[in-house]
Amino acid sequence: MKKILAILLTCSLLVSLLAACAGGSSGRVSTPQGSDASGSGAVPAQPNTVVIGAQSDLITLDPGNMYEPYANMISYAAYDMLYRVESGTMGTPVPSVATGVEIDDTHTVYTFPLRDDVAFASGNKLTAKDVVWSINRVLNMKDSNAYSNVKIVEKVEAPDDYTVVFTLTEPDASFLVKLTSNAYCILDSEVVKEHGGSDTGGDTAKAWLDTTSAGSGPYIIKSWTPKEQLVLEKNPNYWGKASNIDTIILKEMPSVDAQITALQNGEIDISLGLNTETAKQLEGKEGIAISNGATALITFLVMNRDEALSPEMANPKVQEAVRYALDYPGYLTLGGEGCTIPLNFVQNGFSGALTRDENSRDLEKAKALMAEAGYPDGFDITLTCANNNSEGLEWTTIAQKVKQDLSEIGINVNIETLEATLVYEKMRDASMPFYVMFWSPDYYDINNQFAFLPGTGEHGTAYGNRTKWELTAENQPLWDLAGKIQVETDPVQRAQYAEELQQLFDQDNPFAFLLQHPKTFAYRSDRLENVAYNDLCKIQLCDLVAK
Amino acid sequence: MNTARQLLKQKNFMFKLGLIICVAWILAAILAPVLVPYHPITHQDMAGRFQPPSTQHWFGTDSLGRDVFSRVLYGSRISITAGVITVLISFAVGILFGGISGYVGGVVDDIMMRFSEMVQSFPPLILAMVIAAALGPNISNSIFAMAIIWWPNYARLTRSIVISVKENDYVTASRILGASHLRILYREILPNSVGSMAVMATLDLGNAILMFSGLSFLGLGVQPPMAEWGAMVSDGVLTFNYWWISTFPGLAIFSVAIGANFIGDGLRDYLDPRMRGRA
Repeated sequence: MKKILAILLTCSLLVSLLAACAGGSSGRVSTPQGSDASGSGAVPAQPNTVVIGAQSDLITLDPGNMYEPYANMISYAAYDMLYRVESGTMGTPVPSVATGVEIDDTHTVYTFPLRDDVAFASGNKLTAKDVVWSINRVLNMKDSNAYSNVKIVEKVEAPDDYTVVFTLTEPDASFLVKLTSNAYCILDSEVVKEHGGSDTGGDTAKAWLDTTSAGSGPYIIKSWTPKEQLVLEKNPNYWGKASNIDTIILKEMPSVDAQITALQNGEIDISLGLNTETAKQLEGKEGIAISNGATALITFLVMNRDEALSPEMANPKVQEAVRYALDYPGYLTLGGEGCTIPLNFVQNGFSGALTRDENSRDLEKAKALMAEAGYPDGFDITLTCANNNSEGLEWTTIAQKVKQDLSEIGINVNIETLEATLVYEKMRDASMPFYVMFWSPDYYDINNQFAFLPGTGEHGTAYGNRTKWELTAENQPLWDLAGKIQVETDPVQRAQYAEELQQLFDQDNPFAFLLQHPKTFAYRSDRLENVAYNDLCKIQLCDLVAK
Repeated sequence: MNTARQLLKQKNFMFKLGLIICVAWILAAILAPVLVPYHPITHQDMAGRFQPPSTQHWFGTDSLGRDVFSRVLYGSRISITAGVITVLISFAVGILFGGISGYVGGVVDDIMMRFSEMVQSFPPLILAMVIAAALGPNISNSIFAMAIIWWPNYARLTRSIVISVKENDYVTASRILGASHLRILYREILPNSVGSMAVMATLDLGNAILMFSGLSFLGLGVQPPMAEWGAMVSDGVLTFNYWWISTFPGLAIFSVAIGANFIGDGLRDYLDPRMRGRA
């Protein structure tokens, strides 16, 4: 019996050592060399098929209903909008089916002249009546998630075949940005009407639109099996520049490891499930490129103004001291390549956004602020952090760094990790004094970020309520500026207001903004070129070029 | 004392190996503050993250540039203490519960045993997770959660031993002489059942450390930045190509668990006359 034990022990030691070695040598030979794969058996059967591995969680393909993170990857492939996001930018709108825009003096009437050479995949001409019909369809689907993006539209009219006039309920300088989302996709009204589409309510075309598309985009939705795969086929009647890719398959692969293996052996060409950490497994592999794209995802610390939770943390001076005590270069290292630090609530990439000087750590000033607040010897505080991560950066790692940084000014942080759902619930109840959180906007404009401005109660903002940050006479100037930004349509003037607002916000707020994260993805560089990422539509499928 | 000497005299290699491993870990736990080259928590080094094992950092560094070797050493304090406390609580509760149940017998025995079976019928790790999650994650709550699922083993063992011992002639004699129940339990039954219990406790120590690490791995044990083996293994899960972050705490758990098992096996063999002398 002892012999058996001895053998068992030796075996298990050997196994664990072997496993350790295998994990360590990243040059492990698992498959035939990737570089040899191009043109040989490992490549998918058709040379012009591109397979994308991701966990998209799409639940519908009807542009009037889609709201999921991957919605616009599909809507941009199958449909056109009046304006689309410029490639390589974060939310900058450029004309697409519209050739430009005229905005009247009230900032509520937008007149768009349209191109006259656009045709749907069915062969029908795209005219102003299709635009009006498509917008009215979503306006009458009040239960749809996409409705929130169109509700600013009071009415939409077509004075002639190639002119569309939008009238807004109130001035909204972010209207052109909203116009680039799937809610504003132009549908082939003739075809959709045949399948139950209606622009006056009672639309029943969703079931049909889940199986195919009726747009003018470069691709047509060929088939879709939820949780399995989505097949896009080239639109032969596409009015723009034709792609050299015939078929694009979006394959649902919930396991990141499966995506990594599949990319290495050529089963998929793009993997979108990666993050900063997991992508390291693909570093240095031949035929595979790892790339970063900017996202609007930010991670920050929230410090509640509610004195009942923690009189110390609720003190504005302490909150300012925390901002001065953080070691910003350290967070940039943690976040990995492509990370930036926004000055505060406006993401880099948005018009007028400011970046924090990464050398703005000033422990002397932080200590002085602590003394001024009445806590020269510091205090104890609980930092709540969910079991969550921002693009692969674990929140517990962030929390441990914060603990270390704040210990230098005497604040003793106790970390409490909780289930994410529990943390979100407590966040909405505003019952945590100090916590780690992230935020991703619904549309790519500073107007969406006003959720961070002060204001409590029914007419308050999301984070005003979550931090009990009240609107007072002192911080009213924030809203005066925000009000101007909301309606200002001149981009230069608007960016200037945005800068002023961020500088004003920086003087007093209950947050410490830590990082804006990049999205890391990988693709077969031996098969594809021009793989561009933007946060709205992920990979711009129409830009892809097969080698 | 005599027993201990006899035990060590045996030609039992596995037992000695287990003893060496466990003593080494206990010493490491006690001497950790003296032994560690870097502070396990406050020594963060952003420039030296994810360094592979080297002469400077024997076990490499983690995502915050902390020395994994120092953290593994410090981790032994928490893991071993948690394991020992869990076993001690279960041992105490179990011996009381099982002793009463076995000695009194009858309906009381039935009720008490059905209750312990009820606890045992839950999958242990799941039950521990539920309790630890409900009470809020920290060390004492997970120890409590583990003790709740652990005591029935001791209760059942004690009960079976008590039932067999109480039929012995010397117990009957003692009862005829007019000894009280308490005296019989304390003077006659307890000394004759504690040996098997000790074997079980030693064998369980490894399991308790394993389960505690499991709870910490799931985020239900210690809170960061404390160094604990299970939590350290989970630190390295997302960053799999930095193998050293998970491997070394994993090996630590493995060695302590197997060391405790060897000691338990050795004890059992020694106490079982039929096995004695076979090596």
